[in-house]
Amino acid sequence: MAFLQVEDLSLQFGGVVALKDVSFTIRRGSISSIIGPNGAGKTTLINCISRIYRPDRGHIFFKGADLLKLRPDQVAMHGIARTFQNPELFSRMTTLDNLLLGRHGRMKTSLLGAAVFSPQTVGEELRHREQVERVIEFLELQSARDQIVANLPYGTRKLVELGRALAMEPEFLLLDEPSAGMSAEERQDLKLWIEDIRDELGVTILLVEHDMGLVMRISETVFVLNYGEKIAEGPPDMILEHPEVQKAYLGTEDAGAPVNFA
Amino acid sequence: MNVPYAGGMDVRTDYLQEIRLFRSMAAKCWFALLLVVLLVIPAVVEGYLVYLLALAAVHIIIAIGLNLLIGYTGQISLGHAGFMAIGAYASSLLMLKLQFPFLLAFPVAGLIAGLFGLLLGFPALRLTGPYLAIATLGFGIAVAQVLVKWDSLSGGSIGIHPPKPSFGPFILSGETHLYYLAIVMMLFMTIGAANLMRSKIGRAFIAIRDSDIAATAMGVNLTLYKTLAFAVSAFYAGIGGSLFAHLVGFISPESFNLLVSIQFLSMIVIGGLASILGSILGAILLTALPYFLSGIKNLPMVIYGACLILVVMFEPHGLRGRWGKIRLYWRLWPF
Repeated sequence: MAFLQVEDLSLQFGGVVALKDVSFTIRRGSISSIIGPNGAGKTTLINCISRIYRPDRGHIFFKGADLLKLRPDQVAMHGIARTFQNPELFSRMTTLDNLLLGRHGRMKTSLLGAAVFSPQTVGEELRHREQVERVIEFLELQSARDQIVANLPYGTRKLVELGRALAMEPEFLLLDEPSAGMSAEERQDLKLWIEDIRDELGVTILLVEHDMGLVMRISETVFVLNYGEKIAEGPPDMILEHPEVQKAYLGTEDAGAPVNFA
Repeated sequence: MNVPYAGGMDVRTDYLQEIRLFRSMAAKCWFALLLVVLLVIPAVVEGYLVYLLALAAVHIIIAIGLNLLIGYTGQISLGHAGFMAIGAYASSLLMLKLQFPFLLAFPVAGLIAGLFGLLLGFPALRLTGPYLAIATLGFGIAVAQVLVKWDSLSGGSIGIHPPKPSFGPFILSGETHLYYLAIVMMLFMTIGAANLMRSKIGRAFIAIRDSDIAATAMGVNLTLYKTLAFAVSAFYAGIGGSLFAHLVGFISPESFNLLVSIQFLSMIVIGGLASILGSILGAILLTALPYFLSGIKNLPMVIYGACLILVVMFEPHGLRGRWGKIRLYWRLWPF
């Protein structure tokens, strides 16, 4: 049983083909990337997995469970966390409260328990705060901890979003352009963190990314989408040589020199 | 070797400190002082002011409930007078027609209003912004119309006289008794709301307001939490409506018209959205304002309206925002 199995996924928006018969599998413990030109359907694919979109045809199985039968919040409860291309943070909450939302599904407080703030509720709050504190330390977000996220710089907001996903203790992490808007230094840190998340926390990672340097250094498998179709799949060095990929990125058939992706 | 252990203990007390309702000794003292003041007020001020304060306490309960829905969860309602009416009539009719004791009729009235909130929450799932405003507006108008037409139950547009609340043989009569009842309930409901908002449930409400797409990706069930917000908010309005009925001693469908819904909306906008303190300040101001303006002939509504415009123009964060600035000023004084 594959960790994640996507079969013949197709989705149209009106007349626009966003995804066409896309199939692939992801192995537990791997880091994979989806690349492709703008509008190739990369984010659409992520949105199908997290069930924000309903595909027209096809199947998505996560550890044997049919994700298309689930709501987005149920997908989250199955252990799939994600970030968004433009950070979708709870902008008027502090960093800490944003991360605590990541613990939502694991907290059991009832309406009545919350209203009287019973000892059980207090105990649960404390336990989950400790867990969130670990994530804050892991991503070195201490200075942003008590700040309203709307006031944080863009790169930090992206990190807060990553932290919020990690606070869920997911098995599978979907990252939609994690490095977009980050400084060179932040990108360097991001690469190390992504590797740490896989190695230390044992999380399987799928990322959509435009920074080819990052993609090539970090991924075991790269999937290439163009106009909604998967045109190539394989390890980074093979993808670089792939004629279809070069054509997709250069847009001409007689590309003279190979593209310097790195 | 006990250094890490001691460190761990420190962290734990820090967290406990953070989730406390009153984070400092000073806050506790102020709250204790407030309780004393609330306790002695009936002994020192005249009867009508006591009644007005009791009415303000009732308005605070409803305003907090409305703020949970609008300010915190980001769902609009222009029909809260409808929930208030359901609470008021349910509590009165349960006592008059079914001989329920007050202690039972009162919470049941709140729950019935909450149930209606839950039902209205379902269409609200598919509606946002102005569309939700119109749907809830329709609900408020419909409740008033049903109460007018169903006169065998509700007494129609003539209205009914809710009985005095009683605990066993002890009947609450006069402003002072009703004042204490309203104040105690207001304190319970306020602390309940403050607790709710610092729990998982309150965070989910705010998350839905700020980004429903991210909330759902965190595992927040939008259906559950949006309908829950409506139900809790309607429960507050129902409890407030029941207290209102027994306090005023007379209710008719006219007591719960559209203007009443708008009045509660004004309270939370002027007091401060997504703020419990703001709900309290707004409710007090808009309860007191008509009373203090009533001496001025013909002009009270004009001045009332002008006050609303001025506050919204110059204090976009409401009275809550002004309060924060005053506090900051004194903290930094004399710099």
